[in-house]
Amino acid sequence: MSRRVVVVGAGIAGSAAAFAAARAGAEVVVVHDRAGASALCSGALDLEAWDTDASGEVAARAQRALTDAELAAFLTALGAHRLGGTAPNGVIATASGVVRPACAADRALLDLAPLAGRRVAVADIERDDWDASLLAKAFGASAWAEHTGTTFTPVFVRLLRTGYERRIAPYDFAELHDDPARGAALADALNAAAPDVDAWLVGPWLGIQPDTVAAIRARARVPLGETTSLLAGAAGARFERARDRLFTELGVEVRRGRVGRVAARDASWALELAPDSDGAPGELAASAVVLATGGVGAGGIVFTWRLPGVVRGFELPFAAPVTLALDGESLGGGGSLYGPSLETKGLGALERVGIACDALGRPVGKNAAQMGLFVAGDAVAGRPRTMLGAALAGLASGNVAAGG
Amino acid sequence: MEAAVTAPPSARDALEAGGAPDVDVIVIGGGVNGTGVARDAALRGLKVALFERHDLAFGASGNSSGMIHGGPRYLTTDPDVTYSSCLDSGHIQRIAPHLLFRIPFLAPVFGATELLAEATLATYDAFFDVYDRYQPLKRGKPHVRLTGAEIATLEPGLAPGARGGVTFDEWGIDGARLCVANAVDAIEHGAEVHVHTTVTELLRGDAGRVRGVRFRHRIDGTSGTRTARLVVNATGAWSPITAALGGLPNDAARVRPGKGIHIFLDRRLTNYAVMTNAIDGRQVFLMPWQNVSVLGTTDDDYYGDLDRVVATGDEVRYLFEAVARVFPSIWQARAIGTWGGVRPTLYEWGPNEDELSREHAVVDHAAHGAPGLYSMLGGKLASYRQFAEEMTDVLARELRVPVPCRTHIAPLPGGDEVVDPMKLVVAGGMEAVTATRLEYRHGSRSLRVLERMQRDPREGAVICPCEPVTEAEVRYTVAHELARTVDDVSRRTRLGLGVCGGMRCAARCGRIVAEMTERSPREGLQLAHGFLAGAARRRAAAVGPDQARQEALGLAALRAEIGRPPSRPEPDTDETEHEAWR
Repeated sequence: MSRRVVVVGAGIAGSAAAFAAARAGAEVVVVHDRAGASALCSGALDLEAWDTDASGEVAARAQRALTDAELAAFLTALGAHRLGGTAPNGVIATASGVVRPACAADRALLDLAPLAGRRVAVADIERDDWDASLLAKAFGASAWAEHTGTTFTPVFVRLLRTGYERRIAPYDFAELHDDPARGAALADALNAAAPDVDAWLVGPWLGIQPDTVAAIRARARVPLGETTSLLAGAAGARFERARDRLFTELGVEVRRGRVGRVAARDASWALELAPDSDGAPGELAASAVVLATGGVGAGGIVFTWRLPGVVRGFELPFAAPVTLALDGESLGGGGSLYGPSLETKGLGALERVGIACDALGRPVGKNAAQMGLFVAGDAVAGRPRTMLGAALAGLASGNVAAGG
Repeated sequence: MEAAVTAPPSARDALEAGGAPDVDVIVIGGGVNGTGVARDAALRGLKVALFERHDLAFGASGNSSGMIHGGPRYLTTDPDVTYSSCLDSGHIQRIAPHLLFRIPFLAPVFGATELLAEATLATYDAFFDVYDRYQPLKRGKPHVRLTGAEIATLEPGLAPGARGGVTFDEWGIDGARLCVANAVDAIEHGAEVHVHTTVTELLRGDAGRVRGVRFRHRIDGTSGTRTARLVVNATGAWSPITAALGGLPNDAARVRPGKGIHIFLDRRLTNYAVMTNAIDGRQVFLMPWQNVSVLGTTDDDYYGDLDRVVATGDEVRYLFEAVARVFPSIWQARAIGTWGGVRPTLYEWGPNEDELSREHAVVDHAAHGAPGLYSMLGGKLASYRQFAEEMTDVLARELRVPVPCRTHIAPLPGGDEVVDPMKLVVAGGMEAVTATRLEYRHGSRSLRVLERMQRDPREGAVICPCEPVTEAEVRYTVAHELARTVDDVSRRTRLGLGVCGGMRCAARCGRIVAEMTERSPREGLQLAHGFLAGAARRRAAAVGPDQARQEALGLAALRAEIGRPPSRPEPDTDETEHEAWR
């Protein structure tokens, strides 16, 4: 009988772990519940912080990562993302008016790199959350645009059908264009509005379903793509749909619900599903477990600043034989009745806290009974919070978990 | 300066000696006292220039509890103060009816025994019977004594076991809007108001006379001098620092700085402002204030940097512990921000902070060899108008301008006429909540914001969905209310102070401010960054379970969107706060 790998969490780390374990021949069960950080992402996939790269080292490391065949295979299978365009990074525009490099991005985003020196039209529509004229000015004033001579011009496009569409949530507005007629109308409106531009930059409006973007592009006369999304926009929703399709293709069993306890039993693992979960209650047995439960942002670690009689600060929302650490020190005890002080450690502590792990993603500080328990993604203490880093860690732990 | 004078120099002498000064009065400080004096003096026909180092309402005025109260605490010791406080509260209602909102207070009594509770309630009852006599001056309602059962019904979130309580009536106000309204009215009566302009020196003339200021604009770096017949130091807790700029001795304008913090929670948790006692017996409150709840306040001697007053975790937890005794679910409530200010209390060595008087005083620095300079010390938000009147009376007397004060009858901008928010809904296509907030902040001037939307319907876009704030209002604050940064816009409109912490609006607001003030988009992004980093720093001490998740997601989103600031900010700005945020 093949090894059974249970992956807890279905963000990009959990998806990568499930992908790798399934490809390695394991029987894979994914347990997840609610939207995590990947489902709320911007659409830009970084390996390391993009804004600290004075020397080009980050880009060089990213280049090496992008030649990782397994990462490429995973992203291809997921089908939602595109690796960096021209070497080594793609160039994207953010919803906040910044032009920035990105190792990889949601396919719907416009890769500006091939458009250097060209004329990009920014679709000006009457959405409350969109100010094309000032955004175009900001993109045009970016160092990249000035260096490459790329221009950004706002062009009015009549897209909204009702005044109501002016204020609906970004996600809902994107979803409208999953209707093939609306998607086609969007492409037609752009074609008609400015026939002589080199590309169209639009907001995160190009549908939620995986195939919508391709359909709209097929109809548009010039390259067309989105800026990033703010929290809970189209890019995260597209990730979720692509992931669900990937799980189906891989034959991965998906259980919706929360895990209450992860415990070693003999040479294997037992997971109790929390009683309040949507899925069938009860227990799952596993040869190996990958905790891809995310950090504070995902809800994989909770901050309880004061519970009656208990001083914990950060804690996992389930029981597991692991310890949490912040800045290299394990949590518990400490000098404050209310847990770690965020005013002294900085809000960044919310991203640095996690499960204490060694370099291979194995939880530290416990005995050999823990063999077969892995941690990947933002759940790991001190790991930079990047999507590609999480995917690489997920692939690695999925492989080892499946290999036994 | 030529002619030496032997007699004590008067303003007139200085004029004759040195040619015409640029203005009659220079006011230093853009808080409620400074803007109040600038307005009063301008209404009396004086030529005024006001200098503010940061923004209007940057200090205590914009960071107070936001109350125009009637001074019940003086009732037993000094009922005249209660009388004048209530009278002035009535005046402020008359001149700015749009800015005031009723806050009914509830003081529940949890006595150890029925008898003790009864004794306390009887005392309260008698006390507020007396206070009720003053309430009509400010359109306040008389107090009501409630039973324990009534309290449990009216305020179900309270801890069980209240044996009774009393309600009493006070008024809330947005202190920043009050300062802006005063400054705008001053400008409309001929005053110059220079924001983000720090006074670097008090110029001294013959016989030590203070004859003007040297200033530097902190955004564009330009500097210059301005001369005046009289100079008013209305810099609150900064008063001794300002006086020292003219070489005055340390104790010439001494105050006892008392820091007070407030925490705001994401929604209205109570119907009443609930009063209770902290562990040390101090009175604290949990108060519904506009669309949020406010937890306050502390009062501690403060020796830190006045330019960066921020609530600490220690202070936050003190307040939470206090309120949790009567409102236990407060631990689950979501704190979305804090603010801190420093009261410029009159100097006194000895008493506890809470026992210090909230009285005010005008100091004539002729006593320190610096004629022509006055300091406004002490005071409180609720008595600002009266204090400004007293100060301006002195100025008018000195300048021989026999014009009486009109600030208690002349409406502040927006206070002249009541506008039905529904009219804005119909005419501007705004949602009701947008219109209500706009009308609250601007009164009849909301029609001017509406005009912008009618000229360009795109300005009707709600760019801060949390509060909500429209693009037209943002542009209006830049064009007519001296907003120069995202923080300034936020102070005037509450933009970015909602649950998302400015994530959805700061960058856009920065682009608008930059465009309107002829700065680059990159500088606009810096403004957004400065606001976001500062707001994160103010939230850090109060982050609880739900907010922690929001903060972590916000960090990830902003890193993806903006990254680091485009370049290092100038050292002399308020925006060097990235460490707390990263």
